[in-house]
Amino acid sequence: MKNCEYYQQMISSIHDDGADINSVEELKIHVTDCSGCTEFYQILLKQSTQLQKLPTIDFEVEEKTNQNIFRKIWQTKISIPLPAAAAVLVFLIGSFWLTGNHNQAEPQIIEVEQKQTDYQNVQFVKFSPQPAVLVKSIE
Amino acid sequence: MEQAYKQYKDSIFQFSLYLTGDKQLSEDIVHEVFLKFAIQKKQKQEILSVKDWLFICSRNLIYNYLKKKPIQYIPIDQSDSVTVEQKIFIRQILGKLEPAERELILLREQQGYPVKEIAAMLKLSEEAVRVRLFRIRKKMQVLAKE
Repeated sequence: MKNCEYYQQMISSIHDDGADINSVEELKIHVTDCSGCTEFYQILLKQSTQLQKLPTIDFEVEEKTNQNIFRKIWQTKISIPLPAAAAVLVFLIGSFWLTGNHNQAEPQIIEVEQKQTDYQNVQFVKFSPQPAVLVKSIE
Repeated sequence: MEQAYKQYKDSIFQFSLYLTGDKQLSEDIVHEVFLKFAIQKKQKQEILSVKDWLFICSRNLIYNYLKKKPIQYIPIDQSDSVTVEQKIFIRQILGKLEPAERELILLREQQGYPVKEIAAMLKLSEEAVRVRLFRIRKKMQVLAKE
């Protein structure tokens, strides 16, 4: 003789997974005569509905917070290659800067006329951003 | 990444909220879960099901938290949209279940996971999940009658 505990467990399993026809028929016969199992089934359905329709509380995260979390994720993504990337960047900037200075270090000399130089009248004229130009004065 | 966030953040938040009873913590858990997810993707580790992975991760974080601070209450929205019946159900039935019991019934009923997937997530046999769900339902019915 199977007791109510057995049938109630069957009701619970059928609610979760469904059941084969034989089990359902056996259950129907029992439930027809058992008020306890009928009540169990009715309360189970009611509570199941309540669980499925639990009030939802809004996920009140502002857009700013969302941006922060994605920034955090982005920082996490680059955390490992960051020192390497920084070293490459410093190297590139350094090279570029040195190359630029090297050109500026040698001003062009325009010899207007090949004559004896009077150093007192030598003038430096600077045209920004061009390198300084040395102009020799003409007698 | 952003698509997964948009798609699952609310589900994880609701699950976490009813399991921890702490709104602020649940928001933190959602963020931490997605942070771990990003790291996991960066390390190119295989994720078979994004949804399952996110739920398992949130579950682990929640249990770490519950070890430090046991659940005290389940927050209930005080707005008119929540009926008296719902409030009673949450306070007197859901709120009185153990965290492990609440987790199982929420995964099954609120999140709609089938028994097979719950068993895989919790590393239990399907039969064990069915038996536990039955016991939880019995307990819930006893609590409803108190």
